[in-house]
Amino acid sequence: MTPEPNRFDGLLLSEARLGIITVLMSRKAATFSDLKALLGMTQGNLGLHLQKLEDAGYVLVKKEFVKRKPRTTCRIAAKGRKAFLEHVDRLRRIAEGDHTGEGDAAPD
Amino acid sequence: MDPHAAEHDLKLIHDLVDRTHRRIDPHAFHYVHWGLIVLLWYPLANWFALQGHVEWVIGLGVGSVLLGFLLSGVREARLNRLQPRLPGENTFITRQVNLIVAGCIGAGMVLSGLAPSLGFIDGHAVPTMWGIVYANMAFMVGVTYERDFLWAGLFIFAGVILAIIFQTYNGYILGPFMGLGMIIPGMRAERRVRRMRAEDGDTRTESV
Repeated sequence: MTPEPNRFDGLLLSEARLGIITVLMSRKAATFSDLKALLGMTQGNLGLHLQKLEDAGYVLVKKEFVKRKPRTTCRIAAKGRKAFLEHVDRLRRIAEGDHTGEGDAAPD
Repeated sequence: MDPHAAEHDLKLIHDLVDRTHRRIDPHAFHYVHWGLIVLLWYPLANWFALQGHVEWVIGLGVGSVLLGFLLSGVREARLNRLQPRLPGENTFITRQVNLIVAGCIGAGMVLSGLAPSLGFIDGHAVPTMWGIVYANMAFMVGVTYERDFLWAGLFIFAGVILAIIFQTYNGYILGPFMGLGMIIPGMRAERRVRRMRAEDGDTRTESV
């Protein structure tokens, strides 16, 4: 689902999902517990939003066992990186008073 | 979306990026251990040398190095059971800090053996050489991680200059300069990590 040029990406209008993508843009990878600690989200809520981002192809999720304990590692996908940069660009333009790029949110 | 909502989202992104970059665990207890050891070792070794007890200087040196490795090894092993100590730590910068420390200490160890044995420096100047190594390490950690270490690097370097001027008393001078130059930023870094851990609560459970 690629957002149209003049529309906001509905997936990134959620603070939780925007937070997840922001953290993953700032670092190479983050574990589930890293994200939980950084974003202050509950396990269920984080899992739900991660699932939506993974389904949209914005985030790559890898599940494995390390020392017999499950570990979930998340990375940003190229599609997610592009969507985030476009989203930030639109936010900047609106914050600076340029409403030419403003529009309705694209559906999830 | 109105401009206020856009500004709010941009601030959220800015704060989160800042928070993500701030979370670094440099395992600074190593600086505190080694700073304490050097603080006692170098002045004592200088005193033994001035008394003419060369064998005591060697014994003290070997004992101090072994104690340092033991303390660091035990703490690191205990920490491995709690990994990660700081959820969300910026592993990229943490690795850079580890590499700097490993590179500087490794180079210092090689030079400690080679430089006196090849006649490049006198054995008495080895502590001064370690002062240069510590100053360089602190300076690089300061550039990569936290400014405290940068000032510590300059402080240690000032000690090195004094130790070069007053060579007979280099241990008396370098002990406090190198010791405090490592202990103070090390303790501040440890406090920072403890504060971030307290902010999180215990979030080490890893499952989804």
